[in-house]
Amino acid sequence: MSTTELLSRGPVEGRLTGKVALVTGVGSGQGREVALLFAEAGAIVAGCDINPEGLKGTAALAAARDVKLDLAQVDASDEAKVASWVDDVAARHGGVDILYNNGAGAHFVPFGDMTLSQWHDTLRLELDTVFIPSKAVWPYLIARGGGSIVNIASIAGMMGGEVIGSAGAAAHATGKGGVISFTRQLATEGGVHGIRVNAISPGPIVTPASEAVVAASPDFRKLFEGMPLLKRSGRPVDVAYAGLFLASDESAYITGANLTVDGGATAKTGISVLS
Amino acid sequence: MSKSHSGRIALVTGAGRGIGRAIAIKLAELDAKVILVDREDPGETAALIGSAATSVQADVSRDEEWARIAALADATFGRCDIVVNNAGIYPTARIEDLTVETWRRTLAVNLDAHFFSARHLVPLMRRHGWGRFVNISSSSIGTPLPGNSHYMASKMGVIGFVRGLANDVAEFGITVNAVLPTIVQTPGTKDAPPEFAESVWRQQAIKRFSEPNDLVGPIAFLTSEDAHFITGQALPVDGGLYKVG
Repeated sequence: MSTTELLSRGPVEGRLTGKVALVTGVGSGQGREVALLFAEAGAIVAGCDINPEGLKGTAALAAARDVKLDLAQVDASDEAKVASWVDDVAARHGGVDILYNNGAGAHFVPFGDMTLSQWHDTLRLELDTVFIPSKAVWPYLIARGGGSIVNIASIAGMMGGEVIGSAGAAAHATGKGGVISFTRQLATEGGVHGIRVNAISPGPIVTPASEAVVAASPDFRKLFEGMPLLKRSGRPVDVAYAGLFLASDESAYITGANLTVDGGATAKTGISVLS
Repeated sequence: MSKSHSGRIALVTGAGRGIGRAIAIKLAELDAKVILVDREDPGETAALIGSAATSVQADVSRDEEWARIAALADATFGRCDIVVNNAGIYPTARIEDLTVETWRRTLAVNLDAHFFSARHLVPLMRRHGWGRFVNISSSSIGTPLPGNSHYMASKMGVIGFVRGLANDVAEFGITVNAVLPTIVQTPGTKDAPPEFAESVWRQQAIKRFSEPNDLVGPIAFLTSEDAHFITGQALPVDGGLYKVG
């Protein structure tokens, strides 16, 4: 099967009409794809990233795809900056309906070499970046009578993984496992407000950033291409379409779920009953 | 305008009423042609859908009936792209009253049927290198109630079968996933005491009795091209009833 055929997708127009969506980490790969897709689906999209160069690239792509993105340079782990960004977006667009917590980061170090500061910094990058924007939008979602929060976790939060090269992942796996637990609990607390909270756990996804790493390392190539049951590696668009589904009213009765978008990697390696 | 399911042939079991009817209507709205399978005549659902519907009266627990269904799909359309294994039964019986017959019948309708559907329809999907199975499990596997041991066995079995089948057919472009509803307001559950349903939905984050239409968005998604990279998964559509990983 050709790659082109596999990447063709259904129509998106109108699936998020009237919604105001905030997306973090839109300066690269997956967040960028989601922001563009949500805008094409009719949402008003406000996106942030810590990296101004990444934002420029996203703005250029938005212009090329003829969609509008409201972009700002914000560190999603900075409580004060996130709060003023969310207040500003809500004021200008009349509220918030969707928060897509994509921005994250990690120190990939073998456990024996991992320092406490790398551990703390990874948990800041994986968990504070979910807690802080969620906290900032919470009153706006309540005021709206509900909304949808989508948190990007990872299959690394669901299962152990081989260390490739020197890329140990104890802190990353802990953070992503935390995202899944946070999602489940926040869903329970959000139900009374009409707020749905779900996670997506991608498997290895080839982004422009990871493509060079994958190309250069046979071990990484094996991870990215060998893990899925489906005979290709994951792409940002695969995650973005799952995100569109969970952000939209099409999934109005789904909350507390962790939707795994991994080409069947977890079905192959076997984990818990739900994955 | 092209829709997400344009050109697809979708088979839905238990399509005569309840959840199956809602799914069939939704897939037809998305421009699929639908094959309605039910033990009773699914004529009412067919009438609601119109010319996009083909009805088959069949007992899904019998392998030879699936041979007939597959032959009809092949003769009529030359293909079958989507199978939604929705038909299910839920007779309640505590272990002291659970007969061998009830055990076997529950496993046959709720689980054997999924195997038969794959046995007979994977070959049709393989011809086009594309296919989708969505098999209905149940969120109650996380919150078991007395009198359901046979039902639990069948619905946990659905997830096991989904995992296994996903491994067998991935190379042919076929995905296989399970959906886990909570108790849903259907003709099949209307005789249950209202306080029973309420005792379930009160445990959910979304505190209302689920309706068949709650399932249609997720099943439309999982049977579309959008969900191409999702296989072997179990997705609860249960208002947050299932609270473990």
